[in-house]
Amino acid sequence: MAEILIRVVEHRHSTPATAHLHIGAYEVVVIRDNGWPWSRKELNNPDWRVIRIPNTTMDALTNWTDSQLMEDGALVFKRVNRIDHQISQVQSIIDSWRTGVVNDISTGDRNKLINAVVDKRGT
Amino acid sequence: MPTTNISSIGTSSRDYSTIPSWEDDTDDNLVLADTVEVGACYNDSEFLITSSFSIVGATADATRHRILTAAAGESFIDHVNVATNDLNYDQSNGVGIRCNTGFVNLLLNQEDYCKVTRLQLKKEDVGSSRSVYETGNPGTNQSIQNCIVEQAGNGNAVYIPLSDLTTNCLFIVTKSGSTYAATRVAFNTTGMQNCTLVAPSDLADAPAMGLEANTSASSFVVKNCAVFGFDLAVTGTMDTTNSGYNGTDGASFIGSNNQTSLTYADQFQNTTLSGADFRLKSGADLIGAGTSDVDPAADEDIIGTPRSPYDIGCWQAPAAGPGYSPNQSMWHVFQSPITEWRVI
Repeated sequence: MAEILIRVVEHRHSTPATAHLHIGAYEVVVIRDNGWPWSRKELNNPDWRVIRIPNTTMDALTNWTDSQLMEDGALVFKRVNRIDHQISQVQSIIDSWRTGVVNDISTGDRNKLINAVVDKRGT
Repeated sequence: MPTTNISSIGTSSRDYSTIPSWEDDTDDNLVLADTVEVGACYNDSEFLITSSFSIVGATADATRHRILTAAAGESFIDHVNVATNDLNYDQSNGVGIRCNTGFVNLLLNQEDYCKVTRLQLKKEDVGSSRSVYETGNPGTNQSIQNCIVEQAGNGNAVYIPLSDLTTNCLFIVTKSGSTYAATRVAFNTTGMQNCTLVAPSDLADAPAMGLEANTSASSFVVKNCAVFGFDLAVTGTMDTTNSGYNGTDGASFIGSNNQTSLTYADQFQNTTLSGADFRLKSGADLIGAGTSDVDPAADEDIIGTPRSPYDIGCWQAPAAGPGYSPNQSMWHVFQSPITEWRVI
């Protein structure tokens, strides 16, 4: 198992011109091993949710936090991947997550989330 | 004047348990908010970076920006035995951030005026990537001060295009035969003062370069820097007029008043990989050979020892006689122009 801290709200100061510099809604901030001791502030942040992902490892999810740089170091995307919340049933899964706790999800929901991850470079 | 928000980073009892979560939560318009955001790391355990980590996104300027540092009392600088501890990466002495994942830069500092201070950083020998990369797009005027950076794999210890002054840092390359420079500069980076760039003397194959300008960095000024253990101490276009007072075991260096062809083993306490200790040793040629014509940030050394006369490198040899007392708080490294403190 692994745990992710995911942003569910856009940054207030994000604009279309600067969106690539920020971690956007439905993008993963950080991944940690199962049982990670999250702080109270992390668990209660209304912009974030903490999710325990079953039957996987940190290494298997690490591309969820990939960024993209150009050869000269120019930042293309702070996060390359995001979860497409518009895919059927994904929004309802996300809506079920609460602040203040580590949210457990089923293997079925895990599969739906993994299938909903899209590479922004292709969109 | 800006308000300074200090957030603790460490275990679950701190504000944040990871550095990326602090980074994301303080990604804001700091100019509009009129704040300085300080991420103060606690040495609860070694921080591990396992995937891309960037500081980028906040709107910042010279007085309202982000600072990643060690909390008061938590840096290697604050250790009770700081004056006698080996000068090398050692997380037991203070906050250490290590990256053990291939092809991941340990720290991408891509934000205007973002400062990294009082930390130890280590990139393991896994996949080519840098320890610290202060990219120039976006972000300018980033800086790193009073840090120990060890690059154990292929890649630069630090790459600083378009950055502000780099001061009082120890950059160590421990990768035998590395073709990457310890420090790579480009474009209009301000310069480097009182830094030590070294590779252990017993590596099977010395790394290629200490300091490299990969494109023209004609305004880059190098003063009071020590560069030892590389095939080539310096290469590329830099400011030769204003650079000087550096020390190296190489045959030449840029600028004037340099000490060249020095004996490596005569300068530092221990230059081997297993026993590395890059404090200056008694009788070193680097002692007193620097210039006082440096930025005020270099008026004290990496642990807060006042410089007078100015030694070359990040370490200032203690003056003879009683009264020597390094400034172990070093909290002032990032204080100015802070006038109000608010712990959140």
